[in-house]
Amino acid sequence: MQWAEGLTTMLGVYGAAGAVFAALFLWKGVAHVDAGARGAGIGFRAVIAAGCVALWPLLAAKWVRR
Amino acid sequence: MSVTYAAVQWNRQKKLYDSVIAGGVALYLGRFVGVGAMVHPQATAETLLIRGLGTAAFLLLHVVLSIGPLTRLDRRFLPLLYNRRHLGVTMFTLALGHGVFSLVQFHALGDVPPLVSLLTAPARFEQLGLAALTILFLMAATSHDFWLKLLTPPGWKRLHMLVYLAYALLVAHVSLGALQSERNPLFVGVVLTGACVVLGLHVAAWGAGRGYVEVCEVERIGENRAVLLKLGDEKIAVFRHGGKVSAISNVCAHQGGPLSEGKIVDGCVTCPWHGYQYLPETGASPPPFTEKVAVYETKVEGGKVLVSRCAKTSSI
Ligand code: HEM
Ligand code: FES
Repeated sequence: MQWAEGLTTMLGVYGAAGAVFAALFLWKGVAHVDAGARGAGIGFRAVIAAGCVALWPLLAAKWVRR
Repeated sequence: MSVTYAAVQWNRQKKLYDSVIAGGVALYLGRFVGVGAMVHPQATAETLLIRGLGTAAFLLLHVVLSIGPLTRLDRRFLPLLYNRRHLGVTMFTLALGHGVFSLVQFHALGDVPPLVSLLTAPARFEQLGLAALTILFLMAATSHDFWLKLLTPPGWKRLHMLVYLAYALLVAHVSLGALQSERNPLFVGVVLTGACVVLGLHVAAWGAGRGYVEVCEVERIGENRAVLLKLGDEKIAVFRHGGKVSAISNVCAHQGGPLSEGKIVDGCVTCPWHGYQYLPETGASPPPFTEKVAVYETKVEGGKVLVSRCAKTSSI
């Protein structure tokens, strides 16, 4: 029971951090990480948004390295 | 060599493909709930919807998994492969609906938070469903070309190979869940048949793909030049360079130029039309470019060049 509560809390924190990160990343970062995203529209951002929330540490690492 | 991303690169064929998917799903769900309500008048609408969404997703997963081997066995199935990602995302959406409705229906009424209740439920089959749904989510979320490039094609492919784990988890989810409560031999038969079809097609495609075809004598290919090999509708450019033989798709990733009519310049196959380049061993454009064409295994036996019938890496 306790492990499940811990796990869901961790998931919630990870997801919330991811949501904040994704908003920033889709606004500023994405064009730095991939030139193909420069000038891409809101539709493109919407389609990759869920992945940005889920895989945010990976994207953060790529963004920092630029 | 790249263009700006769009949300979806629409064209007429993809729209047709998607209309067929949407129409098929709507028809299936309508029939399922309609017939279900007649056969089980005591069943609630939520229950019917949960079952309809779950079975629709599971059925679509069989289609998704069968398309790969089917196109390898017979190229007439290629149009199905063309927009398989949309099929996958549709399948995930249905599965998500099934999972969320189940969570609300069976886990949202107690004092415990729904997800905690699901994770600690004594009947394990729902946790298997959750694990599968997590995999399907990662696949759907990374289906755009942006992710293909970010994760690199081999990394992306590795992630998407998890679909087989998801399938195994779901067979267990259904076998330990619905098949236990229903105890209907017909359902057991349907699930078993589905698994046999998926497995059988993969084994058959693997067997058919192992063969090589003879192209010509090595000497017939000029140094740094290619000959064209036609395998059904597929065109393959077979190059000789520095004592080695490599085979890549004849179709340039730029605008379909005939690579076999180009030659190897500075170690790269160079398209005769606009000069896009590919490494003969990997089919990949040299960095920083990211274009890629399919590669085929080759070998030389008794002075003859042999090329595998099946691409080693497909351009996704
Ligand atoms: C959070 C994830 C999931 C939960 C909580 C969940 C829950 C359930 C429940 C409660 C049942 C009814 C079992 C019974 O009648 O005894 C069920 C059945 C089923 N599930 Fe899931 N499931 C999940 C994910 C999935 C996924 C991802 C798929 C397929 C892509 C799937 C496919 C099915 C199928 C085919 C059935 C049998 C038909 C039915 O009774 O609905 N489930 N699931
Ligand atoms: S078609 Fe333009 S470079 Fe090959």
